[in-house]
Amino acid sequence: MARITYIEFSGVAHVVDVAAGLSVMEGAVKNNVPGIDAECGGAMACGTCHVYVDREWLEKTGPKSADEDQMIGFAVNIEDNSRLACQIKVTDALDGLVVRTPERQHD
Amino acid sequence: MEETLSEPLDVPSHVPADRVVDFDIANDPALKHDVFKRLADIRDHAPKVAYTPHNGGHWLVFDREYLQQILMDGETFSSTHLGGMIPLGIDPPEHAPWRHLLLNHFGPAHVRALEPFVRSRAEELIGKLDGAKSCDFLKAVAEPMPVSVFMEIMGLPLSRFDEFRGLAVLALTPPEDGEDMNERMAVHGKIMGVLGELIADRKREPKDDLVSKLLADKIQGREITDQEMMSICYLQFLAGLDTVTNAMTYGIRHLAKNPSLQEEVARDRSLIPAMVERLLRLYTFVNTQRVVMRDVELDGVTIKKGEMVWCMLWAGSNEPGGETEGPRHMAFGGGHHMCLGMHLARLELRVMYETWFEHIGRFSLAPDDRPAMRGGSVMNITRLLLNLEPLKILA
Repeated sequence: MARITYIEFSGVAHVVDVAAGLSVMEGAVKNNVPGIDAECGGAMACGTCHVYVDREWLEKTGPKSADEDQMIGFAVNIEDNSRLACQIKVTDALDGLVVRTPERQHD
Repeated sequence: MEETLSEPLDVPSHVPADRVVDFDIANDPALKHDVFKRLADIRDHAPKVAYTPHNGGHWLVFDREYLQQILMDGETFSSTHLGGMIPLGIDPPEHAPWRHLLLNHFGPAHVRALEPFVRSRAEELIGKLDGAKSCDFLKAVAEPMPVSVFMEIMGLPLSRFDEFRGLAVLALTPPEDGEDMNERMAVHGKIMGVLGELIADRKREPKDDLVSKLLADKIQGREITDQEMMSICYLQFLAGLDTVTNAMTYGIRHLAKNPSLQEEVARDRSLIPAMVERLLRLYTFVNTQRVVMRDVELDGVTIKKGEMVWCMLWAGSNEPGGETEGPRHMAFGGGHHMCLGMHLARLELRVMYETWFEHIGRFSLAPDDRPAMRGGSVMNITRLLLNLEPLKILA
């Protein structure tokens, strides 16, 4: 279990407990956190679960795979801390994680 | 007097009786009048995972979570029944390199570059309706528009538009009962002929089109073979034409039945992108299929290796109590095979609606003498007769 804070572009924060084994994307969708579309359901096929990982957490969330790196190229307004939330697996070590959602997931 | 009873259809012994629905997804007569009303009726009375003995016997899945699970798990729920078509008929992990190769040509930025072309075609087609009192929207707009876009992307010259549209219509119109299937196969042969010629031409002399770009691409360090090129191009043809036609036609049909929505959008075009998503959701018309690779349990029933599962995506888009707005519908499927052309489809739809409201005033359904819809894996609408009113400047 990890307590994750999702901060919307507007600044509204949503704090939810997410079971280990789920992804950061699933944690948002299952708890109706807005700002993450995740249209494909977590297959790295759509690039619409884009989040910015709080810089303090970049090390713990780990590196992107080559596939994720390519897919995230299709997201809007990417930064060096951009990730696809479906590719971040929740573990107890991510307790306290903070991610921000972008202004929009689509053009 | 002797009476002949027809034999009931066979239901395999592992299928519990309470899972069986008597529903022919291809030929059910009620589907022809309104596929979505009929699907709602079936969904409301069927278990989440049901079995129909029609069309050789197959499963029907109506539950969003199960649908996601199926579409995410290509190892169990395979697409290999599609004969290896690239990339739709390939399972992970072999699928990923192909998907990524094509994404480089269908991502949001590539699609954005097509907007001026799409808009000029929409202007041309919808502009022709200025002053018209009625039309068949499908023939006037929804059918020609995606054909032009396909030709533009591929690099087929628009001077061949009439010829190619004719072939596309023949190939993609759902078969009538008793139709000569050899003739249909011949049409598909002709299309492959056109595409084969195109590939050969671009090999000799590359241009700025998808075929030339793919020929210059590498797949896992090697060149794409002619056969693979044909598979990709042909799938683009099969996947990108009648789907857009249907989405446009079902959408305009919805608007034709809802004058207050027409008025709202006519006054404020910024509502169009959200409306596009809502209409894709309401009229999710594709039922995608998977073949099961190992015995698997779903919703407490065993689905046996080799059986077919039909993903009833409309049900996944429209769960009672579920979301009704936003892009998280299942019109583009889901999982690793999620529609590669979704950005292009959204662009074509948005531009079509924007252009439509620039030219057309109020519009309504015109009486039609026969039903125009079809069941099957793509639930087609084949005609949409409209009465049109001239554009009035709104106060």
